Amino acid sequence: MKLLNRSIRSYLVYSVIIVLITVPAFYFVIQAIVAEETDESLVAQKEDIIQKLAKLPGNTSITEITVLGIELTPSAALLKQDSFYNISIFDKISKENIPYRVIKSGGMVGNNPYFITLKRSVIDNEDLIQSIVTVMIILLLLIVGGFLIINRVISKKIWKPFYNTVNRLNHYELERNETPEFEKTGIDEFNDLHNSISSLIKRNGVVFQSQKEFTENAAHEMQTPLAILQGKLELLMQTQPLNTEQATLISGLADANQRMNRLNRSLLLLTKIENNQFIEKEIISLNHVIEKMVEQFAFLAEQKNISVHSYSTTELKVEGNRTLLEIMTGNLITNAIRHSPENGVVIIKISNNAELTISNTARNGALDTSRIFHRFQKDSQENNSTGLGLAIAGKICSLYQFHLRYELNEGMHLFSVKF
Amino acid sequence: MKILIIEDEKELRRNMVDYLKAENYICDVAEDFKTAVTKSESFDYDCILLDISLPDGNGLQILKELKNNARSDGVIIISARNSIDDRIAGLNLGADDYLPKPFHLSELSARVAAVIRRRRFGGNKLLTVHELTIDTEAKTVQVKGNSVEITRKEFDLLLYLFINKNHVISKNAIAEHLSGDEAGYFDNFDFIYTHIKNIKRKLLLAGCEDYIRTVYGMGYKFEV
Repeated sequence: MKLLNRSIRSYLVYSVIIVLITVPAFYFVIQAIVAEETDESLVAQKEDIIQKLAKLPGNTSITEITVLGIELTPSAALLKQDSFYNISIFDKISKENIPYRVIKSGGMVGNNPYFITLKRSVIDNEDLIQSIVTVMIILLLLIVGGFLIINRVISKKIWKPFYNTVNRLNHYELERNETPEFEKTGIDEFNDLHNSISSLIKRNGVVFQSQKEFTENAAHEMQTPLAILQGKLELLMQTQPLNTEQATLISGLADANQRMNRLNRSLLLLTKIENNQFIEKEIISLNHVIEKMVEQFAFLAEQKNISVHSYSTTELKVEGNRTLLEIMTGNLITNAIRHSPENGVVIIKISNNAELTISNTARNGALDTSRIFHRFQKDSQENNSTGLGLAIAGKICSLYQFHLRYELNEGMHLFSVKF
Repeated sequence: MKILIIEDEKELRRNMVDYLKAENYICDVAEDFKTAVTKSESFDYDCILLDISLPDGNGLQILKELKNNARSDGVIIISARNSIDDRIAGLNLGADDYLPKPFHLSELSARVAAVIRRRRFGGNKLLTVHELTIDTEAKTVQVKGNSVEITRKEFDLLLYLFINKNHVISKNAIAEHLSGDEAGYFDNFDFIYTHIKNIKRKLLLAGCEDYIRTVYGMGYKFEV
């Protein structure tokens, strides 16, 4: 859940509760006040009438009369207590029941006691209450709604730098060696956050850099002893006399030395790619690169009697360093040939949607996608490979932001590069 | 044939001297920048092997001086592999070739021979031993004056063996020479065997003596 929604949700729940409680409460309070007012005015009117009637001569006889909602009825005894009740009367004109509030009391004319009943329509009161409550509800909703909207707008504005920061961090890559720039917000918390992130990135960068330098230096420094070793082995081969046993030993040493050389070369290449040392870029026809690479590695396919089919539906032009593009495609092609069984098939295809796919007959099941592009991941059957070929191809792709993918498709290992 | 080897690493220097001496070159050495400058200024060499990264100076400076003085010495730069800029700078400054470390001594010898051959204007482009003649320019082979049909790869291999004659050349060195950096991709060296077999057959058929020996599965040798 988003932080914004989280806080707004609390406000919303609180507002709903407030509305649910206040609206009925308000309704009942208003109603009670209005009812009390009605009763009071009925009492006042009754008192007035009783007093006026009391001034009449003592022998005036009370006959039952009903006029203007006032009803007088002679009674046997004087009613001391006022009583209130509600009735509803059908109104012929408006054809509906009209509610009335009624007061029943007693008075004396001379010595004759009587009942007096006053009634008053309360329909206007109810209308009034309804109007007041409606206005009240509208007001409440406006206040709550406005509050929520304002809060949301402000929160969005306040959190904007935060989302910007997250966005920057998402696009941050350690390898690129560029520190993300955070905008100045003028808010202490965000400034603190930015400072912390910046120093964290700087520290990581330093560690990463020194690690990279170590690999580079190690590989670089290894070249001279490797060269010496290789030279000595070659000189040893020239010595006389040499027997089969010695020759076999020397061959073994030379092969191991050669492998070390290759490993070293690949490591140097990797660090060079990471250091962005291949600067020259040009627009290159990938079709030509593929053609060249297929020709270059034809001998490899021949050795295992593998047929290499290469076709394209379009000419694909890619911007990049020629050496790197050749290495990338070369590695993918030799990888495909190397991992095909004898008499297998390798299919290289450039399709209209700027995609290069290289697939080969699979010896076994799918490869572990999470590991194949890592360094020193290799097929245990292949002791002649460095385990760096795909890592280098992957590095080159990520340098140019090409999308390199692997899948097992109908018994074929399929590597695709989306440009 | 005089060669100046400028290399600060003692054992590497000794390797080169030992190998090239056996090929009848006269080798002079310089282990630092100062000596290198003095020697290259004082004497003429057919080929100078130049390590760029010297402890007391940049080898490219020596190359610059040589070119400024319009000297005709051939220069092969020997350098650590990850300095691609050195390679470009060196070749732009007029170096004849560039050999990244680590290298095979047989490869070095082949490069030296090629540079010297190119440097000798109007010189003999033909390499001959007894009945066998190799034309390095036309890239053809003749036995007793008759042309032998030979593929490009076979020619390269024969020339490589010939230049390093009487030296055992390892299969690794041959593979790398024939295919450059791609040597690492070979799962086996059967293709070398095939090439050698073809060369021997063609030469024998043309009436050439069999000079190529297999040395205990270690490599091959052109023996005269």
